[in-house]
Amino acid sequence: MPRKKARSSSSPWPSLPSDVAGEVLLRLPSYADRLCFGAVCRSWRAASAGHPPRLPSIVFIDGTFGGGFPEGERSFRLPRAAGHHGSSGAWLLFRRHDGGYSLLDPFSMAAMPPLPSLLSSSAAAAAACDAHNKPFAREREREEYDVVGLGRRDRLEVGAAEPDPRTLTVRRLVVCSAGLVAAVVGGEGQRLGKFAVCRPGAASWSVCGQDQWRRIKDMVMYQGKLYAVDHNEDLLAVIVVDDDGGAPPAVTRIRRAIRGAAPSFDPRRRLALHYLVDAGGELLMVRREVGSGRLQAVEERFTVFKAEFESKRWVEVSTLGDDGVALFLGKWGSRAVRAPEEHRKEWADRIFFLDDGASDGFWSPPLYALSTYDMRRQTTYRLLPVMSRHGADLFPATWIFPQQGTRVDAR
Amino acid sequence: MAAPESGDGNNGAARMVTLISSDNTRFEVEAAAASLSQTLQLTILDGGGGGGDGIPLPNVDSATLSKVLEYCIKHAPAAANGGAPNATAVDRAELERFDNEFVNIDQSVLYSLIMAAHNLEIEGLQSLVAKKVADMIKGKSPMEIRRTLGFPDPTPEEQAEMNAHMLEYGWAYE
Repeated sequence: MPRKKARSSSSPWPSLPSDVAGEVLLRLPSYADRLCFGAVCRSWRAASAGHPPRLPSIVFIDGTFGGGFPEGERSFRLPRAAGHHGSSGAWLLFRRHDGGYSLLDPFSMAAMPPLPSLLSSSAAAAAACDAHNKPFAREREREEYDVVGLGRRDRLEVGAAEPDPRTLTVRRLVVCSAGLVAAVVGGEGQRLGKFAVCRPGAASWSVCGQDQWRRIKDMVMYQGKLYAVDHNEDLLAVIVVDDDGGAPPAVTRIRRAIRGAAPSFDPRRRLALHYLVDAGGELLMVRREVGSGRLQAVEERFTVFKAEFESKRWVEVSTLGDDGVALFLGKWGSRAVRAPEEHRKEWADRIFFLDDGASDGFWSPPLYALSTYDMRRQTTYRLLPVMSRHGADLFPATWIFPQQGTRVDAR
Repeated sequence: MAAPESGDGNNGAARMVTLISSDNTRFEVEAAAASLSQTLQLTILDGGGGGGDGIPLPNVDSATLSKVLEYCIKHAPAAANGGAPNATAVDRAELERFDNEFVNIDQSVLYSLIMAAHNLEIEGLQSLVAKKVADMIKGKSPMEIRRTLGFPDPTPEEQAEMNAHMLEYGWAYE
């Protein structure tokens, strides 16, 4: 292999024009590599401007980024990402001192207008929610079984405590559009949640007051609609009315799109975590079974289903397709990502998942922050141990999915 | 399936064009191969490059041009088949093997190649070399990248700018 180290100043590379350097940059998918590329010289700096990374990054709560994903050999710290509460796609979610929330894109530095505190969900917003709901309350009588909200209490866990309204916090956030965000809100460390929506910059959330507390496992935008999955593996269509007029947006109805058939197992031995993923043409649900409590040694199991809306069923799938699609799972949101060329073979049918305490209860701190499950071999590989620095755990981590990433788009 | 020949009544024999490097070396090559270059394709469609005229390429020296043409000749049949939808796996594997070997070269040659591919607008070659350079950069720190590509040691001013870039984005090495 002829390879010479040109150490003299006669190397032509410093004069590489910026637009040609840009061609090289586009083939560096990870944040760390793009950052280092931009530091090389002025012309490369110019070439790197305005090119956010394509691959998901892992962010730990002290701001450490796993930028060279998935190799993870190097880590960087982004101090302004420290102390985040969660994330949503490309946004990092922060809780402010006044109880409100802010959203920041750590790559572009774009910020969203602040989100209100959940503690100040005003009477006005509740009234707006109720006003929206009234017509549906009447209409509901005519509907079939598939209307599971609002107001009807079905299959709620016996003995599950309703959260104290003063402890409400955002547990999952979906940025539906520049003018609408949806959240699952619940008490800190509790199982039950409710849907809430607001416009960024608004004074209050409208928390769906009339709906029951539910065990909402995940929520996702799929083909412009909001869906959630609960502990029964029911797929719920969450219908939001967002008038252009002055009225605040509100969740007006919850329809069951799929009736789940969750397997029953001993909750002292096994827990099931659920994730919804928009995989372009399909809506996927991943059931992840883990050992409960001290039984962490119980083999982890993943089952992937796709939503069949026509027949209202989940259909198990054994592969994510031929073109190197991998799933990235986390409690703050999951994504299907088409692997860049060089990772296509090794990423095919892989599920990368965070141990981020996604379960609602009985969770012991894990030893690994990031692991990957190979659907073909049905084997889990541990990738990144949970780190601690200066005595503080950096756990949990969350994903950042860059805006123009390699997400799998609808065909 | 033959590429459309601009007819000088010479059916059967592939049309040839002449390219002249910056150091005045003449290369005779099939028009189909030269047409992988978007820039040359226009000239060739206009009927240029034939006979004793030749197309001067003042930005490409003969060493680079012969390397560029080696790539074009190898890739021309697949390109003529419209991205080779009916190419066999063997053909594709062979092209891949060729490509890997092709960029296994000294960095200064890589540089000339990426510039030539850029100037001549040869998409596949541009992509191939850019990917090779990206692979050489991956996982390296800014200083390591500079050393790999033979940049001179940074002046104190440049060093300060490098550090500032990392800081500007809020990054600190761990």
